[in-house]
Amino acid sequence: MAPEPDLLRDPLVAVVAGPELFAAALVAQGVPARRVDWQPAAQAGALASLWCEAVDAANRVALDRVLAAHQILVDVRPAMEVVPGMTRDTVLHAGPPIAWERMSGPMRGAIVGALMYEGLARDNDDAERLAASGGVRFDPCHHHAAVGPMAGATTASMPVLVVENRFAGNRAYSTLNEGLGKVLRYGANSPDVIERLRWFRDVVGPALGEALRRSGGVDLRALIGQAVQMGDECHNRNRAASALLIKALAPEIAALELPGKERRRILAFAASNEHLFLNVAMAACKAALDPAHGVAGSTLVTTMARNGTDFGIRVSGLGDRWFTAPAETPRGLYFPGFAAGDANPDIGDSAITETGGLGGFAMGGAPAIVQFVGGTPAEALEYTRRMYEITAGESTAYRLPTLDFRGTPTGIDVRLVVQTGILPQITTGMAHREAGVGQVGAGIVNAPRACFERALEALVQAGIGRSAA
Amino acid sequence: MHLSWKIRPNSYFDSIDLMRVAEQTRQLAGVIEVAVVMGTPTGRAMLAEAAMWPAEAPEGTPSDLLVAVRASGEVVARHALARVDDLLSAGRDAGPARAAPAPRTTASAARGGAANVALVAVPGDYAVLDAHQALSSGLHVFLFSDGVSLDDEIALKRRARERGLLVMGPECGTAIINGVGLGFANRVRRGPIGIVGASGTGIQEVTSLVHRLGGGVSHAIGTGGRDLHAAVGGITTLQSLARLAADESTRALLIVSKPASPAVADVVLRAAVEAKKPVVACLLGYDGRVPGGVHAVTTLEAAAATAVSLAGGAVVELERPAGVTRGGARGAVRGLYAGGTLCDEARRIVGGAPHGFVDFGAEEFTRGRPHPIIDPSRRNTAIVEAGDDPTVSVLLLDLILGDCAHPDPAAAVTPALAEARERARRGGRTLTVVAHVVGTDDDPQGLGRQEKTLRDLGALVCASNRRAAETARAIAGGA
Repeated sequence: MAPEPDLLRDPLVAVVAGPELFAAALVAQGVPARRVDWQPAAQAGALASLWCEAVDAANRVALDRVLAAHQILVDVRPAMEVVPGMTRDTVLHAGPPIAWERMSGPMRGAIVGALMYEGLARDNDDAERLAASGGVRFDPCHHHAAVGPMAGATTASMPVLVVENRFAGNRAYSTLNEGLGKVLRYGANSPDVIERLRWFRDVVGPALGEALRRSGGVDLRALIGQAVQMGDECHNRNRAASALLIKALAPEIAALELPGKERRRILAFAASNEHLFLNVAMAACKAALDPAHGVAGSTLVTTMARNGTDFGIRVSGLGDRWFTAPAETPRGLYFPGFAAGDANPDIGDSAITETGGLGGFAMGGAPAIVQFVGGTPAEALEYTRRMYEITAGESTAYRLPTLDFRGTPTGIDVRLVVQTGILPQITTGMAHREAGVGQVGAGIVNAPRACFERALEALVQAGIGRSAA
Repeated sequence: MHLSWKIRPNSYFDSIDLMRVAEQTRQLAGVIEVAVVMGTPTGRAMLAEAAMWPAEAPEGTPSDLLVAVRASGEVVARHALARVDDLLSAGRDAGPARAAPAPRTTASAARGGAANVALVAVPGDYAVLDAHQALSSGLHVFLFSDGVSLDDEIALKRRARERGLLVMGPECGTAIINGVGLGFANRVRRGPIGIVGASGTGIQEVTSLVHRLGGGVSHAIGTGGRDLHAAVGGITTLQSLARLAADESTRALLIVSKPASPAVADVVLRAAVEAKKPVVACLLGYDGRVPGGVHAVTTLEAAAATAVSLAGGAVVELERPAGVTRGGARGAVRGLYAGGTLCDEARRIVGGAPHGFVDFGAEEFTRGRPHPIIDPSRRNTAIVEAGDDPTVSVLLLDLILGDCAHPDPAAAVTPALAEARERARRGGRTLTVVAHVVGTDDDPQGLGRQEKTLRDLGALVCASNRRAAETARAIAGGA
């Protein structure tokens, strides 16, 4: 902690929450005064009780763990071998827990596809019957140190990225990205989709795993830092990071004992997939955030995730409870042939990137994505700057050239979200609301306010703040 | 000649950024060469080429940042390494397209800057949140807001004390820290007198009088009106006394407080004596015991004069208005005040019925409205009404100058005074106006100009609140 200021000796530098005349009087006396754009906060009393030494200290611990994360992509393995709690009849999905009956179209489509891929169901009807009858176990990826984009469907034989956090010693997992178009994560489950997953299982996964093991791993903290300075925000824009990853792995892939055609196919697929890195970034953020979860008294958000029906958050000091609200539908641009009514409500674990200081929080450094979501670079900067208002700190690894290399806003604080009403800004792809169609566009969406209000209530009920005198 | 080095593990920076940082660090006096590179083969080759990396230092990995400084000595080199850290971690958001938006919370406003004090003047229901955020951010708090509960005040002050911070307030109107006025404050000479006060207008009167008497003020710290309540226990007052005791520029202590818990007053006065500096105490309405070594006085003017003299300064005589007690009519004094402590003091001097006093700075008048120091309209209405009251023969007023006050309070009150006197004249009565202007010639409104405006209207202008009250009493014939 910084030494306490010596009021009588140090030159005054003021923050003013109050009428302009107080700030003006200070400025007239030559004292720098930063004025708060003050607005009355809902639940000011409850919020005040949460500004205390215990919470501040807990948040510092949690934030420091996120900032210190040193993630290395070390391996690719079948989920069955590495994902904790994985079984042959488990289907992991994105977002907070949800039963089959309440699942949205794309989520159901992905699960049907996953069951067929695993050989647990013969066809669509068979898969739906199995899912509805309780014959498979559904569980959020987040409960298994894993994250999955969009539907997030993850099953036993799927190869998963293994990201190790060398700071805390934990690992996080995510499936391989399938590219754009008709893909399982958007609920598509046609034979070509299943065929690609089998190729992942039989060829790509083992090859990447071998390449990674031979290379000694890829330093993701450094790679993402570099990609952010190349215009990626690592949620909806992953071109630089994908290229850097291929660059790091290409020599090892070239040296694999595979037919030249197969090696070429792997590299061509990787090169053609501009979201190759998305799942890596997600696992990296998950690996950084998991150690920050479970710090008693902390009000920092460690998970934001959506299952296509509900948006859920988890808070470091509130254990494994989810605070949910109906997922909102993103605003954005549509591919030809699709329009606003086609989009499913917000879906996917990819908001882990925003939770970790990337994605919408780093939008100010990704001018290209701004075009994609229909904004201007100046607006993108404002999105990012607004996020500093609700975060506890700034990344020490991801720095934005457009903000003179300021670290990205990191560590969403429930207290600040509720006080300001500023909601976390997420950049996202949009899935078709019907199963099996796929991606219809991309845009931006907010985390619902109600999640944070419910979390605040729980924080107060848990006796985390200063009790009333 | 000294070579120092440092490794920042896992810190990727663009090489152009690193070159800029190296160049800026090279500007420091005594620095000969600076190298800031990533620990890549290229970076390490550059260090080797320049003989900037000692053999005993580890090589580092490609994702480590390597910093090396050659300087005239070890201290300079260490300083330069720290400078590199500062330059690399500085938030330099200057915004190419649009200026950064204003911070939305006190916590956000406090971040990334050198702020050390938060001035909080928002409605009381919300002020507690801002004040706690300020403490969380390591800031002292000047809490102007009223409507803060006693429990919240205690929680804030205990928390601040644990963190070595001060909470001035709630309902703290005035402070002068290092020559800078916070809230309603007057521009006064710097000097050896350190003041701790529970009352904003009390501090304004005392500091202005110290200035007019030829003395000067080191610091004036406001505590809020309830600090000496038994439940609060004088937390801020005691912290302030300790700071002033340790402050070399302070050679005499002056305590101004309204009625206080005798037990707490005793603790506070003993603490003041322990500072081993002359102590003047003006505890208005307090009749408890005063420990030896404390110069107890009963008026703000006496407090100022005693402190100036104890601090070793020559006391300049305050000017007296000519012909004070000639003219005027016997009757009742109507004291209409903007300053609560000034109102108390005058009431004590003038006495009770038939005389009457109203403090327009009291919470009942300021809830949801600006303070009368800023907005004179409520008092002006009362002034005009007093002109119709057949019992009133003397109007007694204060005018408060300084930062944040009305830009021309004398001009703002003049029409109301003229109207009141005209109404009295029509009723066949004489209404005498006695006024005291709190302030100095260095204040934006100018003491001389303000007094002249009042005199031009025929008001008797007195140099202190005490003198004004005594003058009013003499005219009305109370004693």
